[in-house]
Amino acid sequence: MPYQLTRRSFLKGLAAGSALSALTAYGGLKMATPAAAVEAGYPEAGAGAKVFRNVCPRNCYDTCSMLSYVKDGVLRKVSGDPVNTFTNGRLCVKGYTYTRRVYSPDRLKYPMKQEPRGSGKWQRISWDEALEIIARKILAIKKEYGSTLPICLNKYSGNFDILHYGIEGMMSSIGYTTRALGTPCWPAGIDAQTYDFGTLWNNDPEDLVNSRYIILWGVNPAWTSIHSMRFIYAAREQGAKIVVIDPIVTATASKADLYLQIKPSTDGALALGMARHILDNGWVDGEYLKANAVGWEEFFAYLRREVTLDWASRITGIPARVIADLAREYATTKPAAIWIGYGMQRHTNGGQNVRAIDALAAITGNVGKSGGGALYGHLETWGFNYAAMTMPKPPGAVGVKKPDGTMSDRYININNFGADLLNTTDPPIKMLWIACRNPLSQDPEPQVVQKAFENMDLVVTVDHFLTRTAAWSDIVLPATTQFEEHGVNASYWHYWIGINEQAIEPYFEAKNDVQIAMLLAAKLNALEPGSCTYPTSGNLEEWVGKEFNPKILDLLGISDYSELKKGPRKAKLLTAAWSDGKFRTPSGKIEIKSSEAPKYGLPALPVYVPEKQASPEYPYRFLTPHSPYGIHSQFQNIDWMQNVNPEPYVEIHPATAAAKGIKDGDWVKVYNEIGYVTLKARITATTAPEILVAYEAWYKDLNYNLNYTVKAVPSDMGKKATGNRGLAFHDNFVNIEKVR
Amino acid sequence: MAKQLGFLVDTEKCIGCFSCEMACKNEYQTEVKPRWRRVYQLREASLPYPERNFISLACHHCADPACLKVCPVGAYSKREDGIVLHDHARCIGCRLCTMACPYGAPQYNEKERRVEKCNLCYQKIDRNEEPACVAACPVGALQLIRDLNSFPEPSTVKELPGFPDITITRPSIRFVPPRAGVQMRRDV
Amino acid sequence: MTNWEWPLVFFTILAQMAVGYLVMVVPGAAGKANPKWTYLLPAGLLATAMVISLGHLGHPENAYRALTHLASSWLSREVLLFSLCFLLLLVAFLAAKGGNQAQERLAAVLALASGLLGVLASALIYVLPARPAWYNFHTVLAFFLTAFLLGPALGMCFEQVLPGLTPWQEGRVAGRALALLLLLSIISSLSYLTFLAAAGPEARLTLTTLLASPWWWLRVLAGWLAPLAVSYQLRRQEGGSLSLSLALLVLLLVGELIGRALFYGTAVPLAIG
Repeated sequence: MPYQLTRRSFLKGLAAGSALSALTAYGGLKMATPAAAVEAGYPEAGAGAKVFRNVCPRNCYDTCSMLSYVKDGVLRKVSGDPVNTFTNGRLCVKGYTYTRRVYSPDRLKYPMKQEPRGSGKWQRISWDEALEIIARKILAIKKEYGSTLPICLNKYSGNFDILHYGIEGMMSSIGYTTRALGTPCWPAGIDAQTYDFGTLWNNDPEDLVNSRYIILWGVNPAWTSIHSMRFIYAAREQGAKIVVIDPIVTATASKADLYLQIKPSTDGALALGMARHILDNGWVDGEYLKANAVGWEEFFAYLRREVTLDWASRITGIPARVIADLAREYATTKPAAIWIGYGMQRHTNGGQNVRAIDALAAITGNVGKSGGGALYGHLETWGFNYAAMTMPKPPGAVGVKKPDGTMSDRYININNFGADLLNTTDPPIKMLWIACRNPLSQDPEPQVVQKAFENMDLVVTVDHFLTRTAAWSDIVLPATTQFEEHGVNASYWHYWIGINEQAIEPYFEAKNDVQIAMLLAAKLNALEPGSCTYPTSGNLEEWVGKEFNPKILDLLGISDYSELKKGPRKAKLLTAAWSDGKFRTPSGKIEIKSSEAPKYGLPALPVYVPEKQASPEYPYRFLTPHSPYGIHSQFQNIDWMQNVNPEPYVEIHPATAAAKGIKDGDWVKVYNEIGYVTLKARITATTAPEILVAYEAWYKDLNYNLNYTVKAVPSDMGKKATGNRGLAFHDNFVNIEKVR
Repeated sequence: MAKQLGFLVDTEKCIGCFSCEMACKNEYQTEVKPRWRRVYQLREASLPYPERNFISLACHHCADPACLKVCPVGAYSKREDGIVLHDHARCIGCRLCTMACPYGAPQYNEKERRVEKCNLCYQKIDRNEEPACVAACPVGALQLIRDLNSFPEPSTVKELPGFPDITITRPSIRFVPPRAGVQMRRDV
Repeated sequence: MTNWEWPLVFFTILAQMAVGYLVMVVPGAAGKANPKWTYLLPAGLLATAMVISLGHLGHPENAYRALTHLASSWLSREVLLFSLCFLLLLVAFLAAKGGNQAQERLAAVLALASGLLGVLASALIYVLPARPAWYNFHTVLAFFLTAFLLGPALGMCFEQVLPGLTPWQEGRVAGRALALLLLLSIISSLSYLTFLAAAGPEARLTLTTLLASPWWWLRVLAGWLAPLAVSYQLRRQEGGSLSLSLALLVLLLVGELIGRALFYGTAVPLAIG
């Protein structure tokens, strides 16, 4: 045992002198004392730092409570905040890169002006100059068109901190403007749950531990909600079975007890087939339905009339006996939870499929139960004042006339932004303000969006980096990160709320959206008194205080928002959503037959709507889900992330690769009638023969944009609750060829 | 037997989230390139089903460390608790350890022109805290074994397909092997 | 895999040439009239090689520390042995100058011995389980073959200028000997390739990389086939030929340098995952 030293031999070695001990039979072993080793070069980054509370404001289920470690005014490291029992003191791969994001050499430092747009000829300007240009343009537009409607805001999920709604407030404070309305992410599912339950509201995800049976349906928490996996594992350790239904073998599917490779977009058929089998075998929870639901009789009639196991098997590609077993296990193992993913509703029948799953949960009595539920998301903790957003219009503001004679902003579809920008007239859109968003990267048909930019007189983008969108702007304004500002955040999944403390000074001249609004207000009013109603004073911490009302304070069990400095708090909501039986539908019950859906041209019952089919020219379905390395176009550009995930690739099934003569590592072109993307092939049987998979991201030095192939095809739902239908991102069909 | 700290990697639980790897960089704010801890995807061919399974590996603080043996300047030392430490100040950047380690644990830092590697967060160990990577794992897939000599064996194995020959350096690591669930696939 | 390690390539090749040269000149050296070429030339080569090797280090200013881990590091031992060899050559030179033949002989023989052990140590550095392409006797064989090819080739050139320096009395003996060594080198390489084919995925990757590399085929041409042809020519030149000897030396040097660069550049580490 030449390298195992006992204390005695160590002392002996010392006695013999260090030079000699280096030559002993112990192979030159030295014992290091900790102090000596620190000198040897392993200083802990967070040593001696002051700790602040933050929340990761990115568009993510987990919305992590964070701690930031600051020494000499520099952010030294970050960690999870252990107070939050959901995120449990841990961050994801993205969260741990924050020091590199804050101090990235690519980060925007100053306001900049580009002439001409897209030329790359950037010139540093002062904030005053930038605001002067913007304010004069706003006033000129108002003069020329008689309103501020030619000014359009596109802001969404790049930062979900509540104070960042200040940018909407700024727009309101100058008059009626045009707004990109809707959400690209999850509206079909939101509407589905709105039709069924009155709104979306999931059980506390920490309650998943109480499940005996968990179906993860089109969701990949191993990569997109890592903290949820702990509760799923905990349930399994107590005997729960974990089932994953997904077209591809995701990292989550790899952990499942049972994985079902379903044909994409056919989830509704599976749910209905299960429902029929449950109905036939008398496993329906009739008492629950009688007390809590309406329309189930018609639903059962539909099942008996139109649905069989064989039919479901044919549509979904899953053997009938497997569907029968799944139905039996789900219906007879109580409580059973279904987590409905956002991926599975990004189809032309996505909302309808979610409704079928909701119905499945309802007829088995799993809604409103701890350990049960049809979990999708919630907005129950989002009842803030939106004080930064809610601004009066200046006197004389002109907007779109509504039938009742009042005026409103003008809305265009965020999910068909390019085309709507081009098609909107009277007045046309001439100025764009883009915040917390990167449409040239993340929108479908970015080619069209870029074309629409050409019609603009002025494009202003607020961001951390020179994104694709920022690169096609006239003016970019540097934004602060959550470490440089105060704020408050809630999650659309877990029940926690936390505040952001300003931990460091803003990076160079970066500013928060509310600060920008206040400065622009001052500039506008200096040029034309009374032209803007946004307040021009107040520090950000005061603005945070304005967001709290008695209801939300009560929900958190505090009397003042500042108590959140001691740590994030969990809202005192019902652990099991809907366990009070107070559904928010017009009937006050679960509406398996929806009274609202027909008003939007949709079936009242969760009947099956056939999935979109591939064409002979474009026979492959191109799925473009999230990777663990980024949220949409954020994080992949950070150097640490580039190091871990240096290049994009497309996953191809071995059979498809063989048919196309493609080998692992070959360069391939994925294309359809609107565009293409060129990337490396990765051969893997985790996908299906007719499915290609590539992960959305913005690689700052590559012309890599999956959305070049994505058409703005709407999903079926979203109009009711979010203003516009969602995007059928996953009904994208392509062909593929080897290029070299 | 001398005490030996080690890592337990539960591949049944590991979700390939890379938190451990990035938490390590965050803890020491390392240069871009070196990856003291690294998450590897297991080759599909070595698994019973095509799956996405991962292992997270750093320095294994081997019982018989190759780095320590080959180092010409004696920059490596092994603590009483088994942690293998590398002395940055002593290193002359010959990189022989990077060639000798079967696991790629010691890595060359181009900027400092010397080698560096996982130190098992010995400062945290001395404070009775968990290493940064272990503390970052959201699912408990990466754990610290306080002493391998008294670590129960039954559910764990010493090697996995795709893990280099353990007789070379006797790495201080144990694995829970991946468990194959049932797959209903459309391509078979 | 694309780390060509040029400082190490030049260091090992030059040091091995120096030791190979010693093998030629030391046995009959004592008392001869040209100690400068017998001792200072290889000493100079060795010193040059060691200076070049510093280029491989991140911190060459602390290179002296490399002597401090003799207990288990072959690199430490290599540095010690080559340093010893160098010092003993100086001693031999001074002894020769001073006419002390016994001392000269002892120092020269010890220098040769430490040189040969140095080549052994040098090779053993790389016999690492973590690099399957290196982890076999071919590494040792290859390093000694380099010494035994380049040393005599160098000696043969000097023999043309300073007759009596080496045992080469006739060009054709030299040519024949070198041809035999070349054949041995070729056979050992074939044996190496066969070994790679059977030694696991990493070694197989080394094999395919080698065979796909134009450098390998240049090495075959410059280091084996062309020298074989030249040595065949030499075999027919009774008194030897400076131009042919020089050509042979240059070809062999180019071949061995490429071969060594490939040695470093294609050693695939054990794969994980």
